[in-house]
Amino acid sequence: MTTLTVEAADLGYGGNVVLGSVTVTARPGELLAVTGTSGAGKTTLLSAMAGLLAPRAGTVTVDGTALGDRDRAVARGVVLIPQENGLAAILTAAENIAVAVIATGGSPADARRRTAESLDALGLSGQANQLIDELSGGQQQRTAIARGLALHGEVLLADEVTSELDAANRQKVIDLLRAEASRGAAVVLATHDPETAAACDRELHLADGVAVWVKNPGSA
Amino acid sequence: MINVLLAMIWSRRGQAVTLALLALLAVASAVAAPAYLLAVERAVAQGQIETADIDELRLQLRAVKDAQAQEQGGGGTADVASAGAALDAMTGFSYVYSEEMPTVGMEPTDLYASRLVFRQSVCDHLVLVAGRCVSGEGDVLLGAKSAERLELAPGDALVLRAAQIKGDRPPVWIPGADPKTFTIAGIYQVPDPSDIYWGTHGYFVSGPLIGPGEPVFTTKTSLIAMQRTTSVEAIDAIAQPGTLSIDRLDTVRADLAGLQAVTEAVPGLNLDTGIPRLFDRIESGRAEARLLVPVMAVPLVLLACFSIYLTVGHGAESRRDEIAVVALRGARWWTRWWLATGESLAAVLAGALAGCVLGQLLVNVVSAALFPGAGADPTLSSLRYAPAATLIALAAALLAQREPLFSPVSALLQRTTRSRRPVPVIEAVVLVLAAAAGVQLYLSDGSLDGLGTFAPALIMLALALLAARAVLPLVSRHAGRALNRGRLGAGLAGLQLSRRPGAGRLFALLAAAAAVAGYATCAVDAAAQGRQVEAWLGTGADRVLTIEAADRVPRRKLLDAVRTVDPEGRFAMAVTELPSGGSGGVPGLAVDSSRLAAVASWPEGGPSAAGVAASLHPRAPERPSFTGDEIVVDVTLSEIAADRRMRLGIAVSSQAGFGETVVEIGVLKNGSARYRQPLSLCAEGCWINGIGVSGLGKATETVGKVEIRALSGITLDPADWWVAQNAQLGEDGRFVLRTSVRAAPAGTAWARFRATPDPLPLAQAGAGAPGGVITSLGGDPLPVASVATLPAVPRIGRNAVLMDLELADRLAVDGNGAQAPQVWLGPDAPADIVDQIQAQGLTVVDDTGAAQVQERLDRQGPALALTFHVLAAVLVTMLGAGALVLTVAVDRDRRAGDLSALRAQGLPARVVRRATLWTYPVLVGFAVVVGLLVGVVTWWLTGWALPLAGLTPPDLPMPSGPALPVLLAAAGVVFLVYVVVALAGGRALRKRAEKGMS
Repeated sequence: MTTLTVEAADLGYGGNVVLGSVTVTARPGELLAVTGTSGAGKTTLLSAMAGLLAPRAGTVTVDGTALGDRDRAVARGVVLIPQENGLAAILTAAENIAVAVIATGGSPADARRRTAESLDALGLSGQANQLIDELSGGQQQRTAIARGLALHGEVLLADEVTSELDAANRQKVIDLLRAEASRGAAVVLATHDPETAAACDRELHLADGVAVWVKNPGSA
Repeated sequence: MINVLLAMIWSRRGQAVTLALLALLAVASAVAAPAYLLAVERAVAQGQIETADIDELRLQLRAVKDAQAQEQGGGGTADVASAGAALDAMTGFSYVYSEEMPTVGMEPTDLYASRLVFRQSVCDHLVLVAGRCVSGEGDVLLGAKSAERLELAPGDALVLRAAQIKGDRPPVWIPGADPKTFTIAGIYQVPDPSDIYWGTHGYFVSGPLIGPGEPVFTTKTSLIAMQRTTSVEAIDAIAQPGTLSIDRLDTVRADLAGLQAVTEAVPGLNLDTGIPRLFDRIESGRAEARLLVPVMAVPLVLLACFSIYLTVGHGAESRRDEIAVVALRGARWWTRWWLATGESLAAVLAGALAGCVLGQLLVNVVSAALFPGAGADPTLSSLRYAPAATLIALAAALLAQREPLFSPVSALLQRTTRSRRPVPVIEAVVLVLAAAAGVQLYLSDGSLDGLGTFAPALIMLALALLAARAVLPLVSRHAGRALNRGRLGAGLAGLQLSRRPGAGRLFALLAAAAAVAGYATCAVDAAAQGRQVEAWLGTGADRVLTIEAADRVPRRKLLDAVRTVDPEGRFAMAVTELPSGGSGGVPGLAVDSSRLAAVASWPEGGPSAAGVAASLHPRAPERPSFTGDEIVVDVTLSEIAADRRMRLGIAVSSQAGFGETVVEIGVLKNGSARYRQPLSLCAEGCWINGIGVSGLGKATETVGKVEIRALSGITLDPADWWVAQNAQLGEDGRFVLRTSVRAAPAGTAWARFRATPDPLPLAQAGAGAPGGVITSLGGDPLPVASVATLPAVPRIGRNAVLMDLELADRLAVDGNGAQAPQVWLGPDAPADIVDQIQAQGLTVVDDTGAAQVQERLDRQGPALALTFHVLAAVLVTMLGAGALVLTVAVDRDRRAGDLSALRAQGLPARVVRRATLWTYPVLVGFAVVVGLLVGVVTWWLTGWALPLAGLTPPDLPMPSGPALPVLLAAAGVVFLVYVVVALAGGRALRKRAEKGMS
């Protein structure tokens, strides 16, 4: 069980601060929604939580220790499903997942099993051996989600992963993310879809560079 | 629109520059080939002129005047002046007039005449060691050695008479005119007997029947005042520097034709020149160059266009999104066409224009470095292929973009090409053309005309394309397997190679480029080895001295002379030719085999020279001998028909080196008789080589029984003798010959002492002696047995025999001199060896060095034309490297995107490093190995057709391929160039991948 905490963090690129003094904690077993309009800073916040973006001020910690860069974040079980899916076009759907599993310490046999399970869960068994460019946008997005699930991370960061999905698939993805949380993972879901946000346990809304809790049942 | 285009070029300026460079290389190659050919043709002419024999740089008009014929009615009045007009018409020659006549009176012998010579400006070419130059009537100059030998000095009188020849066994010179008294004006030495001024008159050649090699020089007036027998008038025309240049060949050829016409019209006037031979050699060299240069020019241009096709196609693939956007917006077809192709076409066009200039400049630079002094050939003709090359380059660029141009938008938006399997039209066309070219080359017996010229290029390209088709699926399978086994670096590197669009063609291009470099290496190295073989094995040894055969040098004398000069057998070997025995026989050499290993250039791939020498000369007893100035034979003739007669001859060989002869004992009487013949030759001892019985006249067959009861005190045991044909030897231990013979010489039955193994051992190359019989040095057939099989007999070739000279001499029963006597010299021969040989009484008339032969071969057409192959190998490697640079650059963004994405998913940096650094090195490694194999296979298929040793190659075992280390070194250089490019590209990619993640 891992808790990821962002404490009074200022986040931005170059000379611009996108988010100021953000504090948020992703707790195991919970689904945390990060909402906001386009450009509000959802991806920036998830990048910081993934170790891709170092905070200018404040801290990002995992179970009380600094998160570090992306390599360390991966080592701590922080899984990222990027907004653009982050799939290698040169690989098939199955290979994209298998490479990620093996890269994070899984054995080749593990990789094969988990790849098959996750693709099956997302309804992509038939597309396992297709190159990424041969998949539709929705299929690519589901492949990225399947990879995220197959990694069995402690923290799962999903950035706009339902944006290209139809309602049925969107619900299926939310169910799968819920199952990840039930497994004990801390799931953070960036979305601008109110319905998706409503399905989460807590919701942090980003607007004008400031984070505001919309739903935070466990807070004092 | 132009602004958009310029902006596109600027935004991808690196790609545009690389593409322009590739187009530049393509057009430069098309320009370089004809320009280089012109340069080579000039260099061939220059090389042949510079290494020409004296005889090939001059001509001689010669008229023999016979005073007696003139007196008797008008014959013999030819005058060289009758060709004066034709000579005047010739430019670039300097002329030397000369006249000479044979005289007697100075030398104490009548075996040769003293040459009395007038030669224009002779004193300018002599060093006068005493006295002065000739000036008036009656003045003569005497050679220093002759003056010393004859004890003559300036101021002494000398009486000479024109001479005429009498008899022929041997010929002697007798006075034929009134005496004339001369005064010795000076004593001379010749600083340079080989100076072209002296022409080919052989003034300074000495020999037993030629004289001391020091003519008596006099004035024209002296000759006019002399009563004559025969005289020779000559004009030597010596080509001045620049006269025989490539620019004047046609002029000189026309001048020579005019002169030839004049000399043919005037009886008694002869034209003697080696210039046409020189011209023939130049023409031959130029023809060889015209065959060899295109062999490499074609693949060079082909690969340049292929690289344009590849790189433009690759670039277009990377711009699919752009093209898709343009298409999505519904742009009209010409706008879409212009935006899609303009960027590439502009770069190709710019590169092509620069290539026209650079091709010629490149050739100028290379030819100035390789052929200094050959001169430039300022002509636009080398640009004749430039427009075609430009058009082909543009066509290749357009063809490469056909798919993005005509694909639907949905297809354009896909990035990978696995599902799009284009029909391999280009590959199929190349394959068919390659097969057709190869078949034509084979059927035309290697004629490099028409499609045959394209055979090597097309075969290499076809094999490279096939290899790419075969290799990439293997790489893909291997990479997939590596991924499955958890080896992510290797797996990702392999998949990057095999799944990238155009990866197969890049592989094919790199492999074909390596193949061209390999093929060029094969040609250049095999030719270099061939020239070495031709120079050394073809010459026979490091140096070969030709001995004057007219002196009738006895074989024994040749052997003894050489052994005296080199008693330890370290550097000199006596050699003679064997009679070829008519059309059915094989040519051969008889050598002093004890020196074979130390002296002869020996062919590789056969038994050692020392081993062969030992087999050729096993131990055998020496022939019986006697000493005395007469030969005495007791003979009994019986059982002969009344109308038949028999003749007895005994072949003897002087132990003192005076020569051999066949003593005609005479016609035998029926019954017993003693026969005597005076024989001064044997006063110091003679060996008996053979005892021969023959018939007489036209009798077809004479049967009889000849018993030799005694022969100058020699014990005759028939067990020690053998007979070759037509006879049986021995009867109750007596020396009885039962013969069935015809007239001598062919019908003679010879009995020979067993001083040689029977049959005679010889080494053979090729089929050997037909029927196990060769023609002996004496001319009769000899049974032989092959003791060694050689790849070639030095100097003779791949169908010849080699035997021991001493053994062959023991069998000689002719009394003739050595046939084509030679002295072969090894590397340890001293500098004054010619003097030493001449001091032994042998006249050296020619001295051929293998190094000189090699130098001449190195400057002939094939050697010079093959330098283009080196240039082509360099250019084609640059092409491959350029294509690789462009491909890596184009791929970088997409590959970096993929790797960044995988890094974000936890792919370790070390795996990314491995995948990026090794992707292209592995590709080029595979490509170079495959290319090397393709080059070697193509060489095996077509290399035999290249005239590497000229259009009429010598019959020697030429190397069929390059030395393996040379081939591997060439492949190593190509690999090194590629791998540097690949590693640099991989490093840049890794940096970009890391940057893309952050």
